[in-house]
Amino acid sequence: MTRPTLQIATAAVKQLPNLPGSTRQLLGYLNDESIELKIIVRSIECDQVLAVGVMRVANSPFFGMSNMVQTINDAVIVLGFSNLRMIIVATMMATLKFPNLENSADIQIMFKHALAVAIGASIIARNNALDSSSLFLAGILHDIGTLALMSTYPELHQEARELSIRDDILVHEAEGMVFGFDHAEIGASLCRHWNLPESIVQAIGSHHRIADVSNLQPPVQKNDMAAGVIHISDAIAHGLNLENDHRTMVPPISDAIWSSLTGQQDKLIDSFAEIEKLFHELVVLIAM
Amino acid sequence: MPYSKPDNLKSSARTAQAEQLHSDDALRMEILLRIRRNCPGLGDQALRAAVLTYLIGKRK
Repeated sequence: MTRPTLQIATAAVKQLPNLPGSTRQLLGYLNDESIELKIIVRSIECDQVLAVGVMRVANSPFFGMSNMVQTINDAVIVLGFSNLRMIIVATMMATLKFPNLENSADIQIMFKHALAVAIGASIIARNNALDSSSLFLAGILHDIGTLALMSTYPELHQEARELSIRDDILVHEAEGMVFGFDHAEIGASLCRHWNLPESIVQAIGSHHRIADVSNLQPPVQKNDMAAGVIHISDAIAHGLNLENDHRTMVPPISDAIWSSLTGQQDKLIDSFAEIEKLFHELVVLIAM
Repeated sequence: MPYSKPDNLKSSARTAQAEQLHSDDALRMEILLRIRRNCPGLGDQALRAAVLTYLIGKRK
C-alpha cells in the first residue's frame, strides 16, 4: 500500500466525523461564567445520549442521590459544572464513531486508557494550579490520532502495531517507521481542524516529543506545562495499566517534567489511588 | 525480545526500597516489563518505584 505523506494523511483524517457540535457548544457554555443555568439545561435536554448519561450519573450512588434526581435541571445542580464537564467529554469520546473501527477489540482498551490519562491529567493539573478541565479534555483526546490513523489507514496502522510488538518498540515509534509521522502529529492536526484551543492542540501534538527536548530544565515553562501534564499522565496510566492491556508499554519520561509536576512520592501515590478510584467510577457510570 | 534487567535499575535506591516491601516477583516482573524501556532517567525510575509501592500497598 502506498504510504501517505503527513500532508495527505492530515487532509484524509479531516474527512472523519467531527466532535458533535452540540457537545462543543455545551463545553463552551460551561467555560462561560456568566452563562445562565437554563441554557445549559436546554442544551443537555437536546442531546438524548448526553441527557441519559447525565441523569444516570446524577442518580448513581456516587453522588448519594440514588434515583432522587428527576430533571436535568436538578442533575446539573447535583453534579456541578466540573463533574458535568467530565461526563460530557467522556460521553462524547465514548460515542464518537469513526469508520472501520466498529469491530475493533482495541477500541475499548484505547478508550479506557484515554479516560485514565484524562483523570490523571486533571488531578496533576489541580495539584499544580493548572486548568484541570482543559487537561481532562486534552487527556481524553491525546491518542485521537491513533483512532484517526486506524480508521483512515487500517492496514498500515496494523503493520505499525505488529512492528511495535515484533521489535518491542513503542507504537508511536513504529508509526514513525511505517508512516514517517506518528499519531500525536495527526491528532494535533485533527484537533486544530476541530477548532479546539491551541493549548490542547499543542499538548496532544507534543505529548511524546516533549521527552526528546534534551535542554528542558525544571521548572518547566508554562508553554510546555500542558504537554508535560499529558506526557506524565500517559506514563502513569500505562504504568498502572488500568485498561488491562497485556501489551502496554510505558514511554520514557522527561526528568525535567517529572520533577516539575509530580512532587513528593507519598502525594504521588495518593494521586494514583485517586486516579484509580475515579477511573472505576467513571467506567461504570459511562457504561463502557 | 527477551527481557534482561538493566544495571541502572539495580542502582535505583527508590526501586530497591520498593523491592524490600514485598516478595512477589511476579508483580515486580510485570511492572518491570511494562516500564521496560529502562531509560536512565530519574523520572522513569521514580515512576517505577511509585507504581510498585502503590500496587504492593494495595495487596496488603
